[in-house]
Amino acid sequence: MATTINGDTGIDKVQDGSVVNADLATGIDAAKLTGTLPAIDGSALTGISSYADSDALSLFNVSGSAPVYASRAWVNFNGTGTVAIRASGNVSSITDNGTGNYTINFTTAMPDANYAAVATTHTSYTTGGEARIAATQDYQTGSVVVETGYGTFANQDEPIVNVVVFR
Amino acid sequence: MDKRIVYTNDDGSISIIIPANCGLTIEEIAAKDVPAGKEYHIVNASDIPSDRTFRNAWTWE
Repeated sequence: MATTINGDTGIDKVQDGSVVNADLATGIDAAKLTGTLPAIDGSALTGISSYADSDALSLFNVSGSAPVYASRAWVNFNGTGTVAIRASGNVSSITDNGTGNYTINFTTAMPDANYAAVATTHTSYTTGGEARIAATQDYQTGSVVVETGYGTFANQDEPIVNVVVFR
Repeated sequence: MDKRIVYTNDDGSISIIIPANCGLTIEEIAAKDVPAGKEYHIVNASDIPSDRTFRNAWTWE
C-alpha cells in the first residue's frame, strides 16, 4: 500500500496501482503506523533572526550598553487611616505591625535575602516638621520590613509609602 | 479586597494583614503570610478602626 498526495483530492491511499480509499483518516489503521518522527533542531528553522542584548535594551527605551535589572517586587500603599494597597507587583500582602511599621510579603519569594529594597515615603505635611524617613530592615526571602517616621525616627504613619525590590 | 487578617503577636500586640490583588484567595494569603503557629481571624476591612492614634495599643478580643 502507498499513499500519495493529490493536489485535487488531498491524500489518497493507493493499492495495486488504484486509488482504493480517498479518505486517509479511515483508510489507515493507526495500529499499523510505526516509527518515530525525525528530531527537529534549530538548523531546520528559517526566517528567525538571532537575538541580541541590544534588542532587550531597546524594549526599555534605554541608550548605551549597561544592563537593565528590573524590579522583582513593588508596592505603593497608604499607611494612614484604613491602611490599603493602591497598587503592587509580586506582593501578596502588607502586614500592619503598628504605627509606621509594615512587613511587605512577596507573592513569589526572592532567590535569596541579598536583594536591594528601596523605600520612600511621601508626607501630607506641607509646612514645618521634620523630613519623613522610610527605612528597610529584616530582609527575608519572603518579606521585608519597612518603617516610616521622622526626626530621630519616631515611627509615624504616612499617606504614601513606596517599596521597590531589585535582585 | 475588603478583608483583613488579624493575628496576635507574642507580646500581645496585633498585626493586621492587608491583602494585595495578587490572584491569591484570602485563605491562601493567610496560609502564606501569617507566621507559622499563629491563630488568625479573617474580618471585614470595615471592622478595623481607621483612627490609628493609639494603634500600638490595639488588642484582639
